[in-house]
Amino acid sequence: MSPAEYNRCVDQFSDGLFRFIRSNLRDEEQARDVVQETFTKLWIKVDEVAFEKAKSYLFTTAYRTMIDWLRREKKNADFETADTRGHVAYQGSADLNAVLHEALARLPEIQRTVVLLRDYEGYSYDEIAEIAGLNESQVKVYIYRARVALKNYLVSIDYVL
Amino acid sequence: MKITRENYEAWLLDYMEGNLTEDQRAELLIFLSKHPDLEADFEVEGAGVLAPYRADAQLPDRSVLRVDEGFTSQDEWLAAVAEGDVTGQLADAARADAVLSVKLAQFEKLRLQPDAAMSFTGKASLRRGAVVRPLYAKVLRVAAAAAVFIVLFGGAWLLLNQRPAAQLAAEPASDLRIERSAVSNEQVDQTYVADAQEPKSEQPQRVINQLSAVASADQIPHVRVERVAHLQPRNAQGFALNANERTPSTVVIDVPVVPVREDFALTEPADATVAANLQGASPEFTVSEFLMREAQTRVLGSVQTAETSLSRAVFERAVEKITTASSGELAYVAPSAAEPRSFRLKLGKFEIER
Repeated sequence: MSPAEYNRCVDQFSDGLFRFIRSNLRDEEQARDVVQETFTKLWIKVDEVAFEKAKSYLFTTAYRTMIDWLRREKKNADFETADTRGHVAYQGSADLNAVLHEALARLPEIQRTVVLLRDYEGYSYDEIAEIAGLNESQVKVYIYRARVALKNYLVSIDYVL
Repeated sequence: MKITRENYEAWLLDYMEGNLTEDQRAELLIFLSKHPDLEADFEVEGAGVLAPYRADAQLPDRSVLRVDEGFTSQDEWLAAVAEGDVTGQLADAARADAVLSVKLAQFEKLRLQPDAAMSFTGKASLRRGAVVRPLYAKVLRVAAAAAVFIVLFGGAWLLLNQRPAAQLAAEPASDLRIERSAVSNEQVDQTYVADAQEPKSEQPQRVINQLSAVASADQIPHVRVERVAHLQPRNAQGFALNANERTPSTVVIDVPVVPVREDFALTEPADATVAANLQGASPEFTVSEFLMREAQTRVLGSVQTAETSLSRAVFERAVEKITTASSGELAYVAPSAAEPRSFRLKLGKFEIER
C-alpha cells in the first residue's frame, strides 16, 4: 500500500472504525486512542498490507486492540455474560435506532461486536469471523442471540415494533 | 410430542390442516430447517396450502437452504430467517403464517443504523506525510511579520543593532542550521487531551499512542519508543514526561520534554531556572529553550551573544544526545486554558541540517 492509499484508508475508514469502537467502549476518548493506535499499526505495516485488505486489517486490529484494552482495564469481567442491569424506563419519544443502541449496550461484548460489524459495515459472516477470531457458525449464533436479546429488550419496554 | 424423523409426516399433515399451534408450527419449520433432506416432503405436502403466491418461484440452490446451526428457540430461528439465512419454502411459510409473520417483521426491524454525525475528528493526525506545523508556528509567524515590518520601516534602527547578528554569523552556524518543519500543534491538540486527574496507569498508553502516531506521521526514523513514561507535574509552568519505573518497559519517546514558557521573549535574559538548566541541571529544558531561541534568531537575526554562545554548547550537546539522524523533536505539556483540570500535549519537529 502506498502512503496515498494509506491516507485514503484514513479518509474512508476512520469514521466507521471510530463508530464501531465507540459503540463498543462507550468511551469516546478511549475509542479515539484505539483508532489512533490501529492506524499507527497499519502504517507500520503499510508495505505488507494491500489496500484491498486494509479495511479488514483495520477492523481486526482495532477489535483486538479494544479487547486488549478491556482486559487490561478488567472491564470485561462479564465478557461472555449478558448485562443483567435493569431496564431504563422507556420514554416513548425515543426512536427505534436509539432504543436499539440502548439495548445494544446491554449485550455481551462479543454479541455487540458481531452485530455492529454486521449492521454498521455490512460484513459477511466469514468476514466477521475473521475479524473477531470466530468461526462462521459461531458468528451466526452470536448474531441470532443478539437479535433475540434486542427484540426482547424492546418488547420488555413496550416498544411498539 | 417431540418431532422426529419418524413422526414428522404426521406433523406435516396437522400443519396443512391447521391443527398446530403457533409454537408447533414454528417447531416444525425449525425441524425441517435442521433436516433439509426432509424439506422436499414439506414442499410437496404443503404446496397447495402454503405457496400459491410462489407457485412459479424458483427455489434457490439447495445448499442455501441448509442451516446447520442448532437453534435453541423459535426466536433464534426467526432471527435466522430475518437475516436471510433460512430461505425458500420454509422462510415463505414463516412469512405466510399469521403469527410468525408478525414476529418475523419485528426481527426484520432490528437493524442498527450508525450515527452519521459520529465521526473521528482527528483525521489529520492519522494521515502520513501530512503537513505538520512547528511547535511555535504562531510565534514564528508573528516574528516573521515583525521582521518584515522592521526591514521596511525600521531599517536604520535595525542596522544599528546588527552587532549580535554579526557575531552570530561569525559563529559556525552553518553547520547546525535549524529549519522549522511543518508540524501542526492544532492537529496534535485535537488528538490528545488528557485529564490531569486521569489515573496514572492510563497515561502511558495514551502518551505512547500520541507520540508514536506523530513520530510515525513525520516518519522520524530516530524516535525510539523504549519505555512507558508518565505525565507528572513538573512546576507551576507545566508538566514533564518522566519515566515510570513501575510500568513494564515498552515505550518511551526519545525526545526532550519541556515546561511551557508562554512568556518567552526574544531578548529575555535567562531567568534563574533557565540559568540553572543551562549549567546542566536539565539539558532537555535548555535544549528546547535554545531551539526556540535559535529558530527565532533565524527569523529576526538578533540574539544576545553571550546567551547564544552558551546555548550553542548546550544545543550541540543536545543534538548529539537526541539525534543521530537529521531531525529533532520537542514535546511539551501545557495546561489547557479552556479546561482548568486538563492539559494538552504538544509536539514540534525541527529539521537539523548539518
